[in-house]
Amino acid sequence: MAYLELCDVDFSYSNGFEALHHVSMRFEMGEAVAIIGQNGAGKTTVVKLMNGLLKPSRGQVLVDGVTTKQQRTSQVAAKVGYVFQNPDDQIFQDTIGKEIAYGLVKKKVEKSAVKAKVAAAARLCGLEDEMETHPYDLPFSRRKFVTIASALVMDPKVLILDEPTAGQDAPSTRLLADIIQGVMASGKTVITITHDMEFVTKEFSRGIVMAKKHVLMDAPIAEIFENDEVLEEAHLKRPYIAQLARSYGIRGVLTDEELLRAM
Amino acid sequence: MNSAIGRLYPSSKFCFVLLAIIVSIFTPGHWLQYAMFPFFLFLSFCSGTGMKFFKAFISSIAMIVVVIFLVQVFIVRYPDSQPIWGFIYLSQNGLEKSLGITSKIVASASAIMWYFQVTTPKDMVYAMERANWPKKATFVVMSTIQMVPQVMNQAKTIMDAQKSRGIETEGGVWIRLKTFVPMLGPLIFSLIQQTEEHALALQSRAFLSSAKKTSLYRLDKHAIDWGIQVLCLILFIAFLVWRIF
Ligand SMILES: Nc1ncnc2c1ncn2[C@@H]1O[C@H](COP(=O)(O)OP(=O)(O)OP(=O)(O)O)[C@@H](O)[C@H]1O
Ligand SMILES: [Mg+2]
Repeated sequence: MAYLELCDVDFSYSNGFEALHHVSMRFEMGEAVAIIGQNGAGKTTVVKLMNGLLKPSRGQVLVDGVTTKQQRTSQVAAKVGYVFQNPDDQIFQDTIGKEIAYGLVKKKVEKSAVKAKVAAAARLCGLEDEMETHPYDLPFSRRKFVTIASALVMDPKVLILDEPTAGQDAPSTRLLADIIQGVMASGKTVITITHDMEFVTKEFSRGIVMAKKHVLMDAPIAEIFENDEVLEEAHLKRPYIAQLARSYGIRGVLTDEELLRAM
Repeated sequence: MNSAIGRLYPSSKFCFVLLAIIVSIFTPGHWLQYAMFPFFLFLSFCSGTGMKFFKAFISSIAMIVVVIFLVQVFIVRYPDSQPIWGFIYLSQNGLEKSLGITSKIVASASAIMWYFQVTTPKDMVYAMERANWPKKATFVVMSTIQMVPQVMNQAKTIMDAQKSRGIETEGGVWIRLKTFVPMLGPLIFSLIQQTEEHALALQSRAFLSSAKKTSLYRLDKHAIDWGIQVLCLILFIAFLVWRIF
């Protein structure tokens, strides 16, 4: 059985705006899935439903076989960690060390264990030298890693990253890829929302395309980038290499190596 | 806000609110004052904000009124207080006194609430600028008005952030208090920071420049606005004459 499942979910915000309509998807443990789609497609809404921050207006969200409606957000969040799209919505401690430790401290985890876990998470996110820094003294791109570390440290079964690639330079994007690979290697699931198609082709095997409140396509990445109709409807572009290859009439190419092989 | 009343010039509505408050405070008795509530409720329905007005009134002013009544009638001691049980007394004086206080609160609060629900901040700023208010004063007034919804949003965001880290925020009063108190610091800090950034952004767009501004947004005073303002003035003078002579 799938660890995380959305069954025919609708969701409307309190102002009556319907953000999701008849959405279903399921995730097994150990997967890396990219959610892609235009601004306003409902990506953030869908992941907030998985994490219990929002509860469906219709249909069910099942986490580990239990519907989120019967659980408090804090219970769901212990299994499904969510890193906010905007780190400033999430950070509220005055040093990075405290910020990362906050959740553990509140859960009354033993002090020495907190220290070890925080240090490990900080190292993973390249923040080991910034533990005493005020979060707002770091640039936006690195603040995002602070929030990733604070989610990692809680050790959730599923980790959701909302647009982690936005505004990141090449080394940071690589660091992000390493983090995702590391989490996957420990048998967990990573769900990432991103607009970076190069990142999608490199790091993920499965993709979910969303457009206008719906799931348009849920398939291996290679298949998504072969489907002209879906790409057009979701206003998505292929990775640059694939665009280049196509202009030479070569199809089915997503990475540099594939292009070299095809030529 | 898109109603005919919503589109009136802010100062017309403001004159009217001011008049309603002055009349409520200086007229003896309490029936006129209590009548202000149904009157503004009616106005709110005409402005398309009826339910919003009603809900806001019930959840804030009505509560205060009830508490004042209970305290004045049953707890505060007056010469005519009759003991009922323990520290509870019944007093006719207390009843009269609370009618006097609460009727004025109901009237003023109804007027002010109605005003802020049917006037957009944009219109208010525009009117203040056109009336040559000092720019800093305009900024202070606007930041204050926008503070409340801002605080609410910010508080909700921080709550969400806590929940998504597995921290309990739902439940009884005690749990809510335990999560709310530690977040006050960051909340106020981030509000100050936001206001500072807001001020910087305005500075960088020549906010304090003494040149006369042009505005893309236009809101004109129509004949009806002049009519309302003059009418308010006449009513005000008539009220003065009635109260003084
Ligand atoms: N709190 C809210 N109240 C009302 N409507 C909202 C709220 N949050 C989002 N929406 C609306 O719901 C729709 C979907 O929003 P969502 O944030 O899920 O989009 P998204 O796919 O994450 O977009 P982006 O790529 O810009 O982050 C949008 O049209 C948005 O305007
Ligand atoms: Mg989003």
